[in-house]
Amino acid sequence: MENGVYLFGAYTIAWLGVSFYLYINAKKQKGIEERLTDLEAQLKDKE
Amino acid sequence: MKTDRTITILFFLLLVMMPLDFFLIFRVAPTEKVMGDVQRIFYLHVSLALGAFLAFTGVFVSSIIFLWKKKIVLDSVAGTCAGIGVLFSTLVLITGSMWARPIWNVWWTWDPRLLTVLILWFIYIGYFLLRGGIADKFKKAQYSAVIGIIGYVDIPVVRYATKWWNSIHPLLSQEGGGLDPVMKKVMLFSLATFAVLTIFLFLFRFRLARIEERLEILKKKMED
Repeated sequence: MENGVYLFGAYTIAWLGVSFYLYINAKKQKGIEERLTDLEAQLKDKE
Repeated sequence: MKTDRTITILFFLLLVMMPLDFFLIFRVAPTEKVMGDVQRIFYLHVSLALGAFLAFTGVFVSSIIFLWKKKIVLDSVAGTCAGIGVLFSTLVLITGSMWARPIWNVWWTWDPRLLTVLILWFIYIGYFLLRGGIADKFKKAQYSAVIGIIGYVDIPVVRYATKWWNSIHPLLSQEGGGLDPVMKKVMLFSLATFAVLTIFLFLFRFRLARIEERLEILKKKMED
């Protein structure tokens, strides 16, 4: 395939970009949810 | 809960649509005679551009409603849309460049269409720099909304850049009849797939923005 490196390169970069966006946000969400659980428990103890 | 269900439905829909889109692009769409296989980048490039357009329209609409209603949730909507818009416009610039290298023999040229997209990208990068620099939540939302509305002015300029100035950027929609009927159908399916992807990414990121807000409220409660 002529110029295949550009064609597959473009598709790979695009899908890596979208996947990276999803990964970063999923990781962030997990961290925040853990922090939320901790804070909720602390608040319950306080009360 | 309703958002979670919608995200799940869209995820499974994308699991079907994405491979089908790849199959149509690489197996069904005919090879363009002059450019060859590298022309297939266009199905991705144009679809990403549609995603960016939808996202920036989201910023524009929610910013206007925010300035009117003053509801902070609309700032979260605008911020989420802007993030997706920046992601997609970055990918539009990269994929366009990867098409230009074998066809124009350069990675980049100062063509009006390319330049206006680059300006759009810088506007929304500025939008995030501004958001990061203001501590007060309401002030941040107000200034962001103004930038979000002003930035959107560049969208019609991007759209008509090829008409208003001498441009070497290929035209897709304006000439209508230029595209092979099979290519047109594949392009439409690709656009639909990326529209679903944009909505999926929005809901996914917006859910996180809401959780972040909940954390802020809880932190404040703890301090009190």
